[in-house]
Amino acid sequence: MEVHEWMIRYTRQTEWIDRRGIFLWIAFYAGGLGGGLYLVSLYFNSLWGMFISWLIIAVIKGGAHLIFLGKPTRFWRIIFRPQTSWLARGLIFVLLFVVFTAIQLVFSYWLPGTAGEIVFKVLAGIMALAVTVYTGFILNTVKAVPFWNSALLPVLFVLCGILGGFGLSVVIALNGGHVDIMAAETGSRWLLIINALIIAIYLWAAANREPTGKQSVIEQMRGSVAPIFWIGIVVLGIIIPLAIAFSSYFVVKVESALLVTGVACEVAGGLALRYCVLKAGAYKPLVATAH
Amino acid sequence: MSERKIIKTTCKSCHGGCGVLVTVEDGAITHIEGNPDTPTWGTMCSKGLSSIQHINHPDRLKYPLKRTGERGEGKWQRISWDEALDTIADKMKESIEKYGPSSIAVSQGTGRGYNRYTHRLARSIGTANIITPGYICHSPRIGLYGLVTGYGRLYCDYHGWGGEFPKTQISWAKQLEISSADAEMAVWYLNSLRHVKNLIVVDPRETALSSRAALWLQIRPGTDAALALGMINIIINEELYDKDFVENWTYGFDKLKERVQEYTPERVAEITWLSAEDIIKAARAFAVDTPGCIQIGSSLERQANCGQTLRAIICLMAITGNIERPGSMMSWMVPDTGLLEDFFFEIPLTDEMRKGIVGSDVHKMGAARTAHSDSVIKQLLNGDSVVKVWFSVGGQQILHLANTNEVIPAMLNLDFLAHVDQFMGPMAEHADIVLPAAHWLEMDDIYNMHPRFMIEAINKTVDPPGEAWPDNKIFNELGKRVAPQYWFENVEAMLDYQLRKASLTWQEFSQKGFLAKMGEDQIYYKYKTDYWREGGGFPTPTGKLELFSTVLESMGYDALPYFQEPGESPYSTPELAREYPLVLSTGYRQPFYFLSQYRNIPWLRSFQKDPIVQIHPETARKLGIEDGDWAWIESPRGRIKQKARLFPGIHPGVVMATANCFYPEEPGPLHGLLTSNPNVLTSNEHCDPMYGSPDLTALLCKVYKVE
Amino acid sequence: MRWGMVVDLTSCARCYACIAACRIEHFLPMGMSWPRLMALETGGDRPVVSTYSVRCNQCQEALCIEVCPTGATQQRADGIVWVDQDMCVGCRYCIIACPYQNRTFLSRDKDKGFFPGESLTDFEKAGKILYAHQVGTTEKCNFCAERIDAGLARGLRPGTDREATPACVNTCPARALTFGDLDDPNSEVAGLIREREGFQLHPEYDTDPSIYFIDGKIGYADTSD
Ligand SMILES: Nc1nc2c(c(=O)[nH]1)N[C@H]1C(S)=C(S)[C@@H](COP(=O)(O)OP(=O)(O)OC[C@H]3O[C@@H](n4cnc5c(=O)[nH]c(N)nc54)[C@H](O)[C@@H]3O)O[C@H]1N2
Ligand SMILES: Nc1nc2c(c(=O)[nH]1)N[C@H]1C(S)=C(S)[C@@H](COP(=O)(O)OP(=O)(O)OC[C@H]3O[C@@H](n4cnc5c(=O)[nH]c(N)nc54)[C@H](O)[C@@H]3O)O[C@H]1N2
Ligand code: SF4
Ligand code: SF4
Ligand code: SF4
Ligand code: SF4
Ligand code: SF4
Ligand SMILES: [Mo]
Repeated sequence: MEVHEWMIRYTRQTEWIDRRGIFLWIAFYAGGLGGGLYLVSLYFNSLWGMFISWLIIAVIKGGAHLIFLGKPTRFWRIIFRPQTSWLARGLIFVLLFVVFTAIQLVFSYWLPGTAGEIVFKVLAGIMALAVTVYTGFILNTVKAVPFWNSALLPVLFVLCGILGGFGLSVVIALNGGHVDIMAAETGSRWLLIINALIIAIYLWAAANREPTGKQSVIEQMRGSVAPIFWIGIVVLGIIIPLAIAFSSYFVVKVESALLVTGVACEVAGGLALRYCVLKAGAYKPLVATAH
Repeated sequence: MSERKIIKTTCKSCHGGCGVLVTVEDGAITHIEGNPDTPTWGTMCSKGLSSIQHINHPDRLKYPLKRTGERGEGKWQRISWDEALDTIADKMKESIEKYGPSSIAVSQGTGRGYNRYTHRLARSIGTANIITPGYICHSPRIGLYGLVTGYGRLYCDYHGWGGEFPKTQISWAKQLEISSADAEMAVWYLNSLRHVKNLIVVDPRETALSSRAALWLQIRPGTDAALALGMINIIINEELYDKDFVENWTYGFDKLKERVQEYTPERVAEITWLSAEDIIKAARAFAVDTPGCIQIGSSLERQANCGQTLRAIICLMAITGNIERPGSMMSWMVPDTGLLEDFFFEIPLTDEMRKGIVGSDVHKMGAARTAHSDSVIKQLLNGDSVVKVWFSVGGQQILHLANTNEVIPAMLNLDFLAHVDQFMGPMAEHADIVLPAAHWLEMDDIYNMHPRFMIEAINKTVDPPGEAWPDNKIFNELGKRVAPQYWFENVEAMLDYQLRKASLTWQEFSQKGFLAKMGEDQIYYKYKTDYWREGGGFPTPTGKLELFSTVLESMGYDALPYFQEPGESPYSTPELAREYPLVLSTGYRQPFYFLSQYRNIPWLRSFQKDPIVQIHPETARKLGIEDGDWAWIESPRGRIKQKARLFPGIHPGVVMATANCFYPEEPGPLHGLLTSNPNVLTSNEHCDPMYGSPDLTALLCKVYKVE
Repeated sequence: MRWGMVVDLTSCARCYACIAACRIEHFLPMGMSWPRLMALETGGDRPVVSTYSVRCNQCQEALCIEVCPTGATQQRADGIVWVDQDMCVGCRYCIIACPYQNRTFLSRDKDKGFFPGESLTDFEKAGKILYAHQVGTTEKCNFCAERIDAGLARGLRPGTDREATPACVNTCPARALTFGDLDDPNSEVAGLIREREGFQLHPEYDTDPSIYFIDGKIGYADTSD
């Protein structure tokens, strides 16, 4: 960008999505997905689910974030300022989750039913929720990007994560894991509806609150990310899941394959949503034009 | 321990003049900043500062080169300085023998501190075919000021040395704040604005200062003479003129008064696209809130009516008494060295030299001491050229002259072209011999500042790359080969010679840094003293400031200023305007480029990658052009493309294209000079009668999106 | 003591010198620019164009400090916000959080040298020793803290004495930049802010920037001098 063009108008944030920023997007989504899966797995008491969620967070989330850092070998420095920084808190959540879950898995495998297992399940569960929610707070607290300044964002991220978790549980169930497939289906049905609605409300609110946020939404609908927005968020994330959810309401028993499709769509929608949220986050112009 | 020293020198990355401190550690420059103990107070601009990237540029020319392939083919062979200079000298001598000395042209680009060497070299050879862009840059001003002040330099008194700063300032077709045509002056000008009451900007385009000016006259390009005459009309008819000055010190007032009657505010408003009220406001402010001054910009000199436009503006200065008064237009006295131009004036022009000047029969003012470039081009094109051998030092005539499509084939018709430069640009690519020049950080020289009240020392800080030489050394060594009696043993002797009247040696001056006549040393109201003329008065035939110019009259020109439509305009060529509906102006200096220079300096290029055409958002909308689109600009001569900037600050009927641009990164010999350079569009047909200046800032064009 | 700057939009000549001076002062890699120029164009009958020379505002309530997880971004007692390049992990949270977009991540492609593919220039080589930059970390304007500290150590006054004053301020031909102590009511900066109604950018974020802007017409009513 040429120096004189800088912030004349609507300017997107780029560091956290363009080029290497793509790793951050993956890390953000993997955190939500892993955390969500852990919570769902707790509910179904699926050891496989817990283990996979541990892998997702420790390897994919941790790895992607590490690759994203400018100085990966200094990653341990990130934990020093939890009193103000959500990123520091986030890393602490992730580290604790990884430790607690590892211990919990050991307990569950070798010493199931002990007090230790329960304690660590609770601790790991709390951390899983924290891991799922913190990226929402990271964005939500950035004052200068109105598109992110929404209390719905953390909720959305948690829901997305849990939904993804349900989706993965269904897959695990179909592969013979220890999951009650009917319950998983019912859960995701409701979550699908709520999630789709929240996405819609979130976008609607962003577009109506303030000009830059509106720009962000417009940019999504017409700009370079438009295909991802329309196909990813609107079709895959909202329309198809809603259609499936509604049809399942009328038709008593839905093909589980269809449900899996719905879930897969929702997962894709969630990925697309996080992508678009990051991609379209724009700063308010440096000087208000009215000045 | 490393060796670290701070060297004082003078920047000339533009026309020059800022005092500089250069830190050199172990032979490498580690820091550059302004020198606070100089008259430019330690300020520097982006161009001068970015010299750090210039000197170590990998594309710098390092050795003399000889062409081995066809002209423009880009095949070169390294040769020695002796071979190169001997070849050039032999070509010159041969040509003198065959066709006479006028067959040699010596050229330069805009002022880069060696003007006096260019002229001395030419005169020492016996030719006055000196090709410079002066006639579209600065010379018409100087020549016409010369008619009233003798040697021809009037500058705004920004300094307050006479106890007063200008109360009204008109910035007329000028971006002094960044163009500093008169270099070091930007900083003084900007400082003087702290004391100004009325700042008036006359420009079709918003400039850095127009948004904040008391009055901004968004004029139609090429109509400035009408505005000036309209202002004179108001000032005279409202009796606001300086009666004492007009009565006692001017000649031809009544005739001027009669002439301007036709330029009523209403008519002028129609011509200029301004409002009559604004014209009246400007006239009154300038006449009432005195002292005042007018900073003339060279956009006025790039017009086919430039002589009369400038004459009108000078009359405006005169009838308001804004001559030689503190805070008005001043002719500064020079330092003890005398005028450095004496270095070439001391070799007089002979009649033979005068007669040999190309264009002198037509453009009697402009081609009196130098050649008329467009006539040289026309002759070369027609095959009846007086000029056969061309020695060019740092100028890109090939892209800076009007109508590129004629210039390129014309250049190919030369018998011989040698070019001195720091880089392999389009001009060098067309040469037979290319000589590598040093940068100002790599040389010793005397810098001659535009308003001429100061000279400064350029001190060498580091070695030039390869075998590059300073320009003054090149002039001297070539001069020694063709006209030894006029040249010097070495550069130091040549510099000593130029300083002799101040009883200084180069070594002493180099230490001192600068020599100036400032403050109390300057005398105001020189016309009331014997300075110009025994008993007072101006150095003109009538002894008065000539509103009616007897000199011009004797040369066959109109002695009174008048307005004339540009060669192409909605009114002079309405037919053409139907196809080319927009007024095209070219020029508008960029703060980080110097003409076509510096597009290869990464820091400077980072500010603006591609040349930009400013176009009003409404005009652009109608044409379906969006901000950042590439747009074709087309005139009857050709088309170029530039990047459109939708700019609310430009008149909706006008587009402004960046001038003097090529793409150094693109392959030679043209380096993309036909892609975006507006001289592909300009015409060399309609030229100013006195100076031969073509219309470069007022033409017609159409604009459309590059699909 | 709190160092601050006043940017006079009335006189800025859009010359870009401030940017060049900073690049030299800090041997900035090719893709790096700490200060920038921003043009704000407003149309209408009388279009106005304002050019803002911007750089890190050295906010007193700096959002970049708040979010920095490592503590690399810190504030000194004199108000200067700086980044300890040895502590920064390059997470770029501060870049996202700075509402003024005044931070830049030094990625590898921003440090390819002045002339990629060619050997380093003498100036770049010197820079590697005198002012090393770390690829992978985030940078921004530091108010020329090195100059201020070295100047103060010699008993000089920042804002008054050149050698203790930021490079961009020194080079500005328009004198559009003024530097000094905001806490000192007699300083030039404090006076300008008071008399010419200095304003901060985006006050609604409560960041309390140390850079103020002033604007107005060129010219004055009273002609006495
Ligand atoms: N359409 C249009 N045409 C114009 C203008 C316009 O506004 N519009 N402006 C006109 C004006 S006013 C002018 S002055 C001309 C400018 O025209 P030129 O002076 O020809 O400008 P440049 O194109 O920069 O070419 C200068 C060359 O000199 C070289 N050079 C720079 N410094 C030195 C040095 O110290 N020594 C040597 N040996 N070489 C050096 C550079 O590398 C470059 O190749 O253009 C004119 N042409
Ligand atoms: N940074 C930088 N400085 C330079 C140069 C450079 O390239 N870069 N070039 C140097 C040279 S060689 C020269 S000659 C000088 C030139 O310096 P200036 O004389 O300042 O020339 P420009 O900036 O081309 O034009 C000045 C203004 O004239 C306006 N203008 C155009 N046409 C008209 C018209 O018909 N009437 C009126 N009233 N205004 C008009 C333009 O919009 C522009 O704002 O600058 C010198 N200094
Ligand atoms: S204004 Fe000219 S002399 Fe001064 S620093 Fe800039 S380029 Fe050099
Ligand atoms: S301007 Fe931005 S980088 Fe500078 S202190 Fe304020 S928040 Fe931090
Ligand atoms: S990039 Fe560096 S300075 Fe910025 S928040 Fe991360 S650790 Fe702190
Ligand atoms: S204060 Fe110093 S570091 Fe900041 S922009 Fe100016 S020169 Fe650069
Ligand atoms: S140096 Fe001064 S005049 Fe030039 S752009 Fe920067 S603030 Fe404006
Ligand atoms: Mo010029």
